[in-house]
Amino acid sequence: MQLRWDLQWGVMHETCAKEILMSAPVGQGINFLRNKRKVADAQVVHDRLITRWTMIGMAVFMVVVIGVVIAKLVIGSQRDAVSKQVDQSKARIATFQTLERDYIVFAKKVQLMFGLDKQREAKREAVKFFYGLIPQDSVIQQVQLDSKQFKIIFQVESPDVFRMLSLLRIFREKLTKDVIFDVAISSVTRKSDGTYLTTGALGYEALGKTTPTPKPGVKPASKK
Amino acid sequence: MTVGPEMSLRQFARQRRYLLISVLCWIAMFMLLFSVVIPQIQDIQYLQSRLETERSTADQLKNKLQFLEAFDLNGFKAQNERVNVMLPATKPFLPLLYSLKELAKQEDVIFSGLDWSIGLVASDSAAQSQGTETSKSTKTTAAQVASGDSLQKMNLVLKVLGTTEKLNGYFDAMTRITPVVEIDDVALAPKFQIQQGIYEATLKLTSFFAPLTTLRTAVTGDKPLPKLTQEEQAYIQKLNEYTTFVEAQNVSIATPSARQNPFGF
Repeated sequence: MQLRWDLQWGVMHETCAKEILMSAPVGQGINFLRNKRKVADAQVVHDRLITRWTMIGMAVFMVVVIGVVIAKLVIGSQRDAVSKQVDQSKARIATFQTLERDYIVFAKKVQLMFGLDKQREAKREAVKFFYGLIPQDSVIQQVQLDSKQFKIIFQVESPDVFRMLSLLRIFREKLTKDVIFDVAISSVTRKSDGTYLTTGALGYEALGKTTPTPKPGVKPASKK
Repeated sequence: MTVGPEMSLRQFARQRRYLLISVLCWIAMFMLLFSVVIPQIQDIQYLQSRLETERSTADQLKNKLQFLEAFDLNGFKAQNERVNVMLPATKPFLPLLYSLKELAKQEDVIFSGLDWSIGLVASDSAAQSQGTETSKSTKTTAAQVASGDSLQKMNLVLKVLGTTEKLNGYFDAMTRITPVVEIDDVALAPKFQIQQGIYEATLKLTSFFAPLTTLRTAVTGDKPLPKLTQEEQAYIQKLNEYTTFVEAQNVSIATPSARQNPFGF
């Protein structure tokens, strides 16, 4: 009956009970009270062992909890300090608001003009090159500067057919050597006064595409 | 209540008190873990990320403050004025015409015509009207709000008379005056009935302006200041090469005579 009751409370217990029963001298009979006490004592020893490890675990856990709480407090205080610093900096920067606005606008304008100037530089170089091609006796009638297409569309008037041919020869000679510029003659017209009108386009795409476009995109002003 | 056949609950509690304490400890630890430790760790993670963000903001603000405090105000004012003259906030109609007229005098060419159907000019309303028009035409988007921060064009057509050499000099000098102007199209027509060798040049010009309305109104303390590249900084020095006809600022349209002939033609 005792053994069955012990078995309900675990293997260790059962082992103890079995040991007690086995170790009891046959002739003396069985002292159930003493055995029961021994089993209970062994149980207590075992429970105390568990409790000891639990306490160690609990202590470690509490250290972790305290560590976490302290860490949170430290980080919270650091954040407060940084927030205070940010607020102070903002308050001081607010005293420079006019200067800040002026500088931002200034910087933006410089960036826009820089982009524009790069574009103009390409165009300027192309125009300079184009002017250098035209001989003295020919007159540039019209020049259309197309920044988007990187083209100079032109009309050049030559006083006679020989000057016109000379102009075409110049175009051919100079541009076969040049890799940046290309020219396309679209028409040659003889006018009623005997002059010749040469129409064409000088492309400078290779030059123009190396320069950045203004940021952000140029938008035409609306007309009213 | 009994736990076993020969043990009451009280006896059991007394007998297994250490085990019960252990069990209670474990329950307490689990409760603390889920109610305190895990939320605290989550808070710490959040605080840490916020702290990092705020630290970077603090650094940015510190740099910005140092930059603003160490600013050479006098030098900046001069540069800023120059930039504002070159790229004004409003349509630079009057200053541009004055500059072109002065340049024409300088290069010995004559104004012979002007197409000035350019809408509202040289006023705050001109810049504002464009912003309003943009917002009316389509729904407001970030891109459209930023449209006030883009480079805007003002077109005009100008006719000048002169010899080809002088006209060429005029065109060349025109690219280095303020406000910034760009020649889009040049057409020459002989006017030999006036004088031999005289041509009339019809110029399609584009002048630029930048209202930068969004930038002007949305200055906030915590955004970093824009940084200019080395090339852009070098370009600022190049601005001194542009010719400014300062008298353009003194053009008065207040008097009746000035209204009749504001450009002194």
